[in-house]
Amino acid sequence: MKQILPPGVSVGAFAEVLNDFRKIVGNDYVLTGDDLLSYADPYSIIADDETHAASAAVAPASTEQVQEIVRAANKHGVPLWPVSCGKNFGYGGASPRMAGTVVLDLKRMNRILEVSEADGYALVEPGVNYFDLYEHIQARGYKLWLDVPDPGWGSVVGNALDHGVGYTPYGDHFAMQCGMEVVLPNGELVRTGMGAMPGNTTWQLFKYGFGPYLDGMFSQSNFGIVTKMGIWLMPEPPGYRPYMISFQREEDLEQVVDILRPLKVGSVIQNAATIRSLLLVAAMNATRSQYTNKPGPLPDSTLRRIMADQDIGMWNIYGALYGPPPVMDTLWTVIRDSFAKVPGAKFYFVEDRKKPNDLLIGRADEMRGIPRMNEFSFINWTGGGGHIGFSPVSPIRGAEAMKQYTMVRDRLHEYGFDYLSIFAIGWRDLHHVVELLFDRRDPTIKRQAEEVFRVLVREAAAAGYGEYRTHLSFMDDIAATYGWNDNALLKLHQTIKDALDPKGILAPGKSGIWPARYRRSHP
Amino acid sequence: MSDDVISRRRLLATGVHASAALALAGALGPAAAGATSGAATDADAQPATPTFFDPRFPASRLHARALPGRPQLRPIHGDPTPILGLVSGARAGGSRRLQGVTTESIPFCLREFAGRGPGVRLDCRRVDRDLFVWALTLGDEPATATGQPT
Repeated sequence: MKQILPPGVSVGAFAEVLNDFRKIVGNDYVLTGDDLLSYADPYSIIADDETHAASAAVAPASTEQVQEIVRAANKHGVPLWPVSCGKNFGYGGASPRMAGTVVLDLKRMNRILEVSEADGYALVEPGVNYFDLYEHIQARGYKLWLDVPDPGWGSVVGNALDHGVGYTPYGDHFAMQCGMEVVLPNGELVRTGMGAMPGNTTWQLFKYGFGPYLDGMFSQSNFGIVTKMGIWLMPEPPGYRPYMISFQREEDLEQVVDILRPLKVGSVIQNAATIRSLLLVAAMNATRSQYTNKPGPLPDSTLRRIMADQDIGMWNIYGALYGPPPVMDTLWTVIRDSFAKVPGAKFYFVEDRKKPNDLLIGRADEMRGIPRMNEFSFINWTGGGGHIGFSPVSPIRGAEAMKQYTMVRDRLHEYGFDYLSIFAIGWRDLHHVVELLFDRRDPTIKRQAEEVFRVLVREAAAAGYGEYRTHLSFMDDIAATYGWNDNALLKLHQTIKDALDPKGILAPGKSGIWPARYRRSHP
Repeated sequence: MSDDVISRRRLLATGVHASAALALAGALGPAAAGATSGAATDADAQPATPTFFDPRFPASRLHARALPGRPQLRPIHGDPTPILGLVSGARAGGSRRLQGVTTESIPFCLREFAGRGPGVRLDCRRVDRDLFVWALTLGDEPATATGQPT
């Protein structure tokens, strides 16, 4: 691989900092050259492979080593890009925003420090992934459930910090974090909430401590490196019943969402349920070429054939009931009766689904916190495997969901892409996560994907919709859409950045926040 | 894991602990646990090579049968979860090669899970729009005092 240096850092200075890193972590854990392939964005849609290329990676094993690395980076002015497990591939994986940044790989910090069955929490380091924590809990027989995102190989800490979601009642991961330990950009170590009080025993129980609540500052940010985090775990309920509801017409989305809102806000729908579009469900079990070899939007006749083949709907709700059987029975009666008002609605439990890779079977695991990898099935839809997520947020209102759907669908069709999406239902919002699939070996299609993505960002913003997370390549675009009052929020972020990280060594460009040294002409 | 020291190899792959993946494979049924479908039966030949095919595509089985070694055919759909458990099992059990003709999600996840680092090689080639032929060769891996691969 071609050697890329951090901006403004000479070959000699870079060699010096790598030597410092080796003294801290050992030779084996400073990576350069071909070893950096592990940190490349596998789904990059940017034509230039060097746009997000790392100059090196360093993998500490302890908080103390993180502090030493940060101090060395400050000394040499070398930027660091912290990643927990680096598996968030739809948004850039382990690649840094700015070429030449050194990846700070926290995967070796994989200790599960504590699990409290009685209080329902775990205290973990950033290298702990969902498989590890699941196995740890199962091996000890704890009656606790995780909440997992779709691919289970990601970091518990990293997913929460990036505002990831799962599918149990604990699906809002950042809402379920409690108490952090953070290495600041100057190397100082701080604990948030009750963790700031020596001898206190409620660090993972009470979030707020005393004074300003700072934990949010360390999510999607470049203000610190989280080295420990508490995460609340759900007590195993006395009963569990996953379900699927399918709807037959595109326009049903409006009525479905309007029925759904009071059920979710009133906790009749208990979990972070989802509404999936036809093709995202179909892609779990089939590929596009099994239905057509023609480019362009699929005609209605083909969509109907897919629905019939797979016994799925144009829209499909995946949810679950939790609790004692009489409670689940009662909730199900309300849910079923509510959605039965939609003509053609069909209701299923797991035993009704027969195909080996049926989505409800996989969701039945995930909605009870068992990590899987089955979501990778959908990357096979068009062939070529690339995807990035476009993720605008809307109220839980039918008209808004339809507006977003038609806006995105039409634009994707115009550029030759299929519409595959999931509406993840939050406490008061819909995360409309659109999976833009492309052949990652085809530069022409990648260029089209990049172009349509930027169009979607602009159009969504013009309609008042903002994205809640994004790929590295679009962080500046998204940040610019949060521009109320002459970019007051971005200015505040920059003020905090300059105060905490005057040398600008931590994750330059993350979420559109650039340190002063790169602000005027960042790469 | 509380007492685990992650190796350089696992740093370059996914970092998922072997026991976690194995536990998962056991929970997911026959494909992960090693059940075969249409397995070769030449008992005196070389050790069988776990060979995956996607039953949704007739060409997948045909191509898989023609792969080198003594292919022991196993069905797998697009979900890579079972095979990741098998990789860990293969490491622990001495099997050094997995191969298949599948959709891309399988070799993609294998590359991220195990396909980098010393002694590990993943060869992958596109057969048609949907299918990829691949072979994963696993390198030796030092064991810890507990016998658990790091």
